[in-house]
Amino acid sequence: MSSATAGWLQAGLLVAALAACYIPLGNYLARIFTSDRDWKVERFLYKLMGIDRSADQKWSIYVRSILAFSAVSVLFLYLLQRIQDHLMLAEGMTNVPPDTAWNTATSFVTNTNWQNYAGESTMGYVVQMTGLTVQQFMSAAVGLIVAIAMIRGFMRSRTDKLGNFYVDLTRASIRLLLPIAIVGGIVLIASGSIENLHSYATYTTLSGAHQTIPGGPVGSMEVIKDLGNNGGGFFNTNSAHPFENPNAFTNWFEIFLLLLIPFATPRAFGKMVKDNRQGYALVAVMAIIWLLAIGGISFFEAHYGIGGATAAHLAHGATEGVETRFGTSGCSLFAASTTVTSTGAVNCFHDSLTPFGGGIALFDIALGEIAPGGIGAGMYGILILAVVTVFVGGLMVGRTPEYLGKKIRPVEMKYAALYFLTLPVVILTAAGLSIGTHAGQAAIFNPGPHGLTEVVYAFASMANNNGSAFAGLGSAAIWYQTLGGFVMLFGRFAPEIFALGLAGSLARQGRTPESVGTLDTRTPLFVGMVVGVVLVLVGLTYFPALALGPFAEGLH
Amino acid sequence: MNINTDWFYIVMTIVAFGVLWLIVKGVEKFER
Repeated sequence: MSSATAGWLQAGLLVAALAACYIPLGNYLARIFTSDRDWKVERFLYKLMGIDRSADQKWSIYVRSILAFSAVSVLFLYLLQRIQDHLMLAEGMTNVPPDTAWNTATSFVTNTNWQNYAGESTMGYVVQMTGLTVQQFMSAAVGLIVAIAMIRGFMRSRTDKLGNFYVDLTRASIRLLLPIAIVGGIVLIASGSIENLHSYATYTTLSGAHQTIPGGPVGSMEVIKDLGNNGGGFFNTNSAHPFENPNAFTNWFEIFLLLLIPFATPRAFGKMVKDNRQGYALVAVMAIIWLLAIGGISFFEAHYGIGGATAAHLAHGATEGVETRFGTSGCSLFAASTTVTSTGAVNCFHDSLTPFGGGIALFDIALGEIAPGGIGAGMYGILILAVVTVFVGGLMVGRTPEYLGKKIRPVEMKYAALYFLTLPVVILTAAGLSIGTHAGQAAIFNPGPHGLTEVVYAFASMANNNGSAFAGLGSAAIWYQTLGGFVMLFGRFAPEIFALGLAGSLARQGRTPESVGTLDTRTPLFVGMVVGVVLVLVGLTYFPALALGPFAEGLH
Repeated sequence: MNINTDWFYIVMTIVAFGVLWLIVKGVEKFER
């Protein structure tokens, strides 16, 4: 079987598996957040934490709860790394330096998982298990419940309450992430991913050299790394490492996990607003963009000549930097799926993608992670895009725009505009500062367009909470550690503030009955309009950076 | 000056979340 056929077969199987899970998982998701009944363990936790589960919060209290929870999480994770030396199972690792510890803490709390360190030589088992892996659950849960609170904004009328942050967080963790992670973890471990607390073992090879074989609780971290769209691996080489991703099946399964919840969330949305066709419309937008990304990257990695790589021409594919077990098709499928979600796990070196292939990966991230996007983040991102599309459609026909019975007034558009302006401002300002200062320039290892792509990719990845690295950038320099921490915090939480502000504004409105002038948001026409708005908005925002980076390199 | 210290990064955390807190406050004011 040719590599291309294998790639399309894997993609076809993914579509079938995701389609099979769409309705049951989406319905279950909706039930989690609409049910009035608490589980025993939840009641125990509420009692323990002193939470009044019936006390709904207005949007500003909800978002303040997120900020307070996340600030404490950053400080706790920072502290854990700084005292690693004194913890059990440290495996001889010393305390993590302050700049790396802070960058890592902000990275894992924001669901980014940008890693300026090699896991197997920096983090002991306790930090990996009780610090990094715990945040992989918590940050994913926070993203999901922001989307749920946003959906409640459409569901509810004449109220300023969007739900209770602590109840939602508990339910997302206990009812959704933990059960799937347990089953998925068993599948990964049964398929060859390692799971132990063994000390690292050193062996003498046949040539007389010494080789250290690491151990670790890898499978249990691997599953939430993918399921929660985190991306932070136990090992430096991430999903290219055979202990994390041992074979072709686990490679496919990891891609399935990272797409599973984001693709099922539109169903939950449709269920919660009592119109399943609304969910179908949004999942169609997500699927179209995801398939375009797979097709684009696969094409350029297989048709290497267009990317300009002559060595690749001789190798029948752009195989430099590609894990040979998975080939260019396995790399392309993974690269497209990890950059359209906010996962950032990698099974090949993105710096080695052809210029246009890498350009598409960068464009995917710049889309704002909406196709299907990060867990929860993709849903609230695409809902805001739908609001913008309805507004644009309303302007075209001269009617007051409405979406799901809510009027889209200037105040809602201001929230949407703030949401969309935040990321470009954060990304392009940080990239501009890095290119314009000595501290930033000193860590750029490649000259010309490729170097520019590396810097823009790094900040786009951090701000959009993706976490994949293009490499070729000395991001462990103190400049990138510190600036990167700010970029991740503002890239995550500022858009969430505006998304929840918009949700609060929608919840306060009454419901407007549909009329003949209402744009039907369940039709293929609307799907096409949203895809168009996404491509135009992102294209116009990032075109100069894309033109000077990957396009210039590819056309050179 | 060596900025790679615990105090520097603790202050950076407080500054970052403080600014985000102020953004929430600003949006609330804008709402009213």
